[in-house]
Amino acid sequence: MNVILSPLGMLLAIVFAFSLAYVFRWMLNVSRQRPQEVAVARHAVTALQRILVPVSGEPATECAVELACRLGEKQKAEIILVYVVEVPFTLPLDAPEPFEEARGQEALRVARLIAVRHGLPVQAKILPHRYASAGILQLAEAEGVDAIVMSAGQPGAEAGLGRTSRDVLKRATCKVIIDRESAA
Amino acid sequence: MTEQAVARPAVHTGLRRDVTIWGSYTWGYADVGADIYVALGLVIGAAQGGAPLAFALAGLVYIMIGLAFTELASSYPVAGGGQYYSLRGLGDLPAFLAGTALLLDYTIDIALFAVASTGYVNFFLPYLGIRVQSFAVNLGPFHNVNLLWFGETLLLIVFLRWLNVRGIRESSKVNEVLGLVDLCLEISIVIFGFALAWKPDLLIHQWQFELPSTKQFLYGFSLAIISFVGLESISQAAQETRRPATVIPRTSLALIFTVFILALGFSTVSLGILPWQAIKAHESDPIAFLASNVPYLGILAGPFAAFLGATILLISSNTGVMGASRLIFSMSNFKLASPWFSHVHPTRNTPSNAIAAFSWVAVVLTIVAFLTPSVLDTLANLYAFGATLGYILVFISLIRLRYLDPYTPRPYKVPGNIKWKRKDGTVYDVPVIGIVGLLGVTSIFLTVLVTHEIGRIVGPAWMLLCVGYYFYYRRRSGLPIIGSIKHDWEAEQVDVLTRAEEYDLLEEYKQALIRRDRKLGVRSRWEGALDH
Repeated sequence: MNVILSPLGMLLAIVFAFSLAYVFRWMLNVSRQRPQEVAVARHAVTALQRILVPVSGEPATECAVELACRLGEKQKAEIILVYVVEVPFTLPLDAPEPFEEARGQEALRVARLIAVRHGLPVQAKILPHRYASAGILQLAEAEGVDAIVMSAGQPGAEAGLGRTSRDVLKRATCKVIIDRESAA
Repeated sequence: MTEQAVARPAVHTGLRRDVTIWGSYTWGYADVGADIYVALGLVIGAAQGGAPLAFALAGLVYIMIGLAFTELASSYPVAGGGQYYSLRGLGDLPAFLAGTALLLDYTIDIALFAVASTGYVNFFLPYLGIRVQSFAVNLGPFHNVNLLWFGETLLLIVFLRWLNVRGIRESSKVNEVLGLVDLCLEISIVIFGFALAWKPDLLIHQWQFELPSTKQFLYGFSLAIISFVGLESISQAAQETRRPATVIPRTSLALIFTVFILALGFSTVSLGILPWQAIKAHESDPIAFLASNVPYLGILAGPFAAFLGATILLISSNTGVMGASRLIFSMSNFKLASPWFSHVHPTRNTPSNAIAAFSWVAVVLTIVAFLTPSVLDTLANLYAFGATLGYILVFISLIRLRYLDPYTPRPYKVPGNIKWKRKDGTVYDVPVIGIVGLLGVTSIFLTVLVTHEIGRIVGPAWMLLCVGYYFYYRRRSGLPIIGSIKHDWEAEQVDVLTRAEEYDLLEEYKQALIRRDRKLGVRSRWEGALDH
C-alpha cells in the first residue's frame, strides 16, 4: 500500500492531535477541593452585598472606603456612604448647616471617586442627627446593610477606639469592621 | 391538581461516590463511542458525499443537547438525568415520560451492543478451530438462529449484571481502561489516515459530484444523530461522581468536543481515502475497512478492528446497564415507579434490583433480536425515537428551570442568553441556545417519525404501555395520577450539595435563598444554617 503525503492532510493530523491533547489536559487539570470550613469563611465575605461606610473627610475614613470596596469588589457590593452632621440640641434637627454640609459634600465626593474606581454601585447621603453613632445605626437598619466598615476615629480610652466607633461596635446588629491605624 | 404532603428529601440512597474525572468522561465516551462505530457506515451509505455535512449538522444539535446536559448535570448532580430535570421543571408525569423514553434507549443499548460485541469476539473463534456458522439452527418459523452467538450474548449480559452489582468502582474501572484503549486506537486511525493516506482531491470530487437527494440526505441526517446519543450517561453517574459540580462541566465539554471532532474527522478522512460506495459495501464494519486502507495499520486491520469493536461495544453495553439501573432507581425514589427498584445492595451500595430487572429486559430484547432477520435495523429505529423524545423534554426543563429555580448555583451555564428583568426585580436568563436546540431536536424527532417505520409504531407503543403501568402504580399507591407530589426542593438541593461535598456551591445557594427571603420580608430558614 502506497503512502500518500498531502500537506493539508499532515496539517489536519497535527491540528486534530494537538486540539485533542489540549482538551484532555484542560479536562484533567481540576482545582483542589476546598474544605467546608474554608468555603464557609470565603462565602461569609461574599455575602456582603451592601456595605455602609461613614465618612468624615479625614484620610482614615477614605482608607475605610477603600477597604470596604476591596471587600465588596468580587460580589459587586453596593457601597453606601454617609456623612453624619451632628446637630446640637440647641438647634432643630432640620436647621441648615451650610458649612458642615459643604464639608460633607466634599468628603462624599472623594469617597465616591474611590468607590467608582472599583466599579461598584454607590449611594451617598448626608444625614443630620444628634449623635453620629445613632445616625449610623439607624441608617444601617433602614438600608438593611450587611456590614459597616469605619475608621476607629479619634483614639479614646478604650482599645484605641473613638466614641462613635465604640458605640457602633457595641450596638450594631450587623457585621462591623473597624479600621484602626497602627500605634506610631 | 392534587398534592400530597411534602415529600422528604429523596436522595438518602447510599450510592457511593467512586467515579473519578476520567471515569466520568469514559462513562459518556463508552456510550457515544460505539454509536460512531456503528453509524459511520450507515450515514455515509445514505448521505454519500454529503456525509461530513450530515455529521456537522447533527453535531450542532448534539452540541446544544450536550451543553444543556452539562448545565443541568452540574447544577443537579443526582441520578436520573433527563428524568430528574423534567421532574424539577415540569412535574411527575412529564418526568415519567422522559425517563421512559431514555429507558428505552438504555435497554436497547444493552442488547444491541452486547450482541454486536460478541459478534466481534466470534472473529477470533476460527483460530481456535470453532466454526461459528455450524451453530445456526432453525427453530420453527425462525431461521438461522445462532445458538452459540446467542449463548455468548446471554453470558455477557450476566457478566455485566454481576459487575455492576459488585460496584460502581469496579464497573467504572472497566470503562476507564477499555475506554482509554479505544480512544487511542480511534485517534490513531484518524491521524494516520490524514497523514499517510488522505487525498483532498478525492474528498472534493465526492463533495461536488456525489451528493445525495434531499430525502437521502435527511435520512442520513436522522441517522447521524444516533452517533451522538449517550452523552447523558455522564449525568446518570453524577450522583456517584466525586465533586460532580466541578468535574461534570469539564468531562461533558471535553466529551462534546472529542465526539464531534471524531465524527467529523472519521467522515472527512474516510471520504478522502475511499469512495463512498466502497464504505457502504462495508456498512457493518466501516472502521476496520478504513483501517485496512491506512499504511502501517492495514496489516493489523482484521484482528485490530475486531478487538476495537468488541471492547468499545462491551463498554457501551456496560454503560447501558449502569444508565438504565440508575434511571429507574431515581424514578423509584421519586415515586414514579415501584419502590422495589430503589433497593440498594447492603454491602456493595449499588441498586441491585434495578440492575437485575433491566438486565432481564435486555435478555428478552436479545431473544427477540435473534429471531428477527435484521437486528441492527430494528433496534436503530427505536434508538432514535427514545433519544429525541427524551431530549425534547430536557430542553423544555432547561428553559423552565432557569425561570423556576434561578437560585441554584450553575457551575456551568449554557452561553448565549438574553437577560429579562422580571417584575420582582430578579433577572431571568433566557437560554437562546436552549430554544434553538429544542427546535432542532424536535425537527429531528419529526424526521425520525416520518422516515423510521418501526420507530413510529413501536416507540409510541412502548410509551403507552409504560404510561399504563404508571397510572396503575400511582393509583394503587394513592398518589396523584396527573398531578405531582409536592417536594421541598430547596432542602433536597442543600442535601445533594452537602453529600456531594460541593461546599462552595452550598454556601452560594444558601446565601441566594437568604437574599431572596430578605427581599420578600420573611425570616429565612437558612439564616442560621450558614455556620457549620
